Amino acid sequence: MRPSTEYRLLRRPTTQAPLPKYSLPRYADPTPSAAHRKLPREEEADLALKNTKFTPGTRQTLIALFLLTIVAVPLVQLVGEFRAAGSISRLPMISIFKSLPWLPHSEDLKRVERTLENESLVSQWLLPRVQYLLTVLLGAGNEQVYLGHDPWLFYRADVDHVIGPPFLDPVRMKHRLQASRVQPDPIKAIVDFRNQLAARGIDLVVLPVSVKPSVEGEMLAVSNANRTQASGALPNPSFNEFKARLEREKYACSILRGF
Amino acid sequence: MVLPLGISFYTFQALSYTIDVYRGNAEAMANFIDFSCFVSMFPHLVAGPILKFSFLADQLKNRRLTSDKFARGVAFFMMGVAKKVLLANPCGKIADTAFDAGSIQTLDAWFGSFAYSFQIYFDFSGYSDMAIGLGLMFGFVFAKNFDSPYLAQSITDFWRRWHISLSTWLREYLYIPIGGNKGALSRTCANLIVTMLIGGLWHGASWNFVIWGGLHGGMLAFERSQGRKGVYHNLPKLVRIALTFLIVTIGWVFFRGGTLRGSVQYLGAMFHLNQPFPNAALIGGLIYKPYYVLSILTAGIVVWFGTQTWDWSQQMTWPKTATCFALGWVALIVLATQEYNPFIYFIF
Repeated sequence: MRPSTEYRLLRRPTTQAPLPKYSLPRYADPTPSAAHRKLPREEEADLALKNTKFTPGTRQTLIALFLLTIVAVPLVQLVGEFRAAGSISRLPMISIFKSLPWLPHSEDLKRVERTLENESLVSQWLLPRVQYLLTVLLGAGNEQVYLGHDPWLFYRADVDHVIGPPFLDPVRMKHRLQASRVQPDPIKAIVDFRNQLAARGIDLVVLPVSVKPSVEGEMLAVSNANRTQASGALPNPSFNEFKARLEREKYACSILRGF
Repeated sequence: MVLPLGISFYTFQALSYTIDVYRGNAEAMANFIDFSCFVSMFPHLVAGPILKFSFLADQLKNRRLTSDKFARGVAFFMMGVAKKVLLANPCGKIADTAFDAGSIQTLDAWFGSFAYSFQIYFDFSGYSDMAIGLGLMFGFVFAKNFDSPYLAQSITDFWRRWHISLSTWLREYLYIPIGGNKGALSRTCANLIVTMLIGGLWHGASWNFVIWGGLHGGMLAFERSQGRKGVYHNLPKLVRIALTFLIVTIGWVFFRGGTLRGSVQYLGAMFHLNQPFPNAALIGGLIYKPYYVLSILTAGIVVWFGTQTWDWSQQMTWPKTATCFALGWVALIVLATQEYNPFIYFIF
């Protein structure tokens, strides 16, 4: 049987896409992978999307499974909560929404969203299992933790601080000021805090403590060369300057592991 | 300053309407609700694709919602979610670690920049797939926005494949009005550079985006000056693809770098021009994890050997339906364990 025009247009190209004629594409140009069709991109889309071939049953399955995906989580939640509460009026999910004011602010919506996430039965069941897979089998860690050797765990914020840019770099401090509108220089903030306490007759003692990845870096590094390098102290590049400036401000600073 | 989500996409849509109507390519809409629907159509609102008004005008009034379209839309949507969560997000973790570090070793810097190339592609094309899928579920047909961009054999070819709705928009509404190729070669090249510089600035008021746009504009002008066959023509196809990918990846460093100084330092690390801080020794232990290496390898295979969602979903069989939901569900399950993961183009 002779294939239809539409089917022939949808066939994959047998030749390589021609060289671009224009530096930027025109609306009338076909996309490179469909250059053989010689149709504008929009007509190509129209043709391709309106002529999908489905094996019998797949179309209905796609739609049914998609709708099931949408309703599955709230359905599990409702059934789980109903079994525990025994009455629809006492369902926690209902009371979460009831706590919303008539005109909710973004904070209200975020609070409800966060509560729904925390109370989700599906999430509570999934979270430890997926994290086990990602952490133990694939070494990915999670949102809070990096995985080291053996397996050591490192708090993500500590590692980011150690490998991050010098925290006393003026450019970084300027960005910090723009982002959070707080005193970006930790020394100035500490001095200000010291002065406030001194006005109340209280002394401030600051103890700069190096974080775990800066003293146990070899438990994170991969190659032998990097492990050797990481076996010494690896503070943030600004740490020594921070300590020196603190000492200039006449603070009592205890020193840990060579700092 | 607080700006609405997808402000630039709103602007593009409104401009497309105004110019198309002014040029007589489409009739003005009499119904404000139809107009609002065009400008703020939610499936593609925050990150494109940018829709040409004259293409959508007819669909707003006359479209058919069929089970075929809905089912195909489901396939697009699930594949888009999978691209975003299973490929873009892990690649993004690598890129975040590499680009946010104070200093970095050469190999790690390359690994991080390739990861970002994959992240931005899968993030954006995943979003486009989801937008096309959602559009289909409501009966709308959106045109293709990505066409295997990392298979491009030149920067000119790249812009026929990457964010096609932006490159066509820039040509139609900016490059042509400022003169296009009507004039001497030098004028055409200047027009190309200006167009891409403005295209870069559209992404944000920062020198990084200006340089990124300038790099692409400069390459487009250079290739234009070399004639149709171009400077790469005598090179093997594989080398042409690799070279283009390399240039694009270097351009992404400015796109991702945050500050000009940071981007230059990162490029310095990629070409071994900087002496890294000792604490850069830790970065390898964070990015060469099995999960991340597996993700980046899969991303590479999909980019260079995979079939596009458009072609893949053209014939939906049982194995494809199963694959579609297996990937989509795994992606949703992984997503449930993660914190907020915005799309890169949400900020533009």
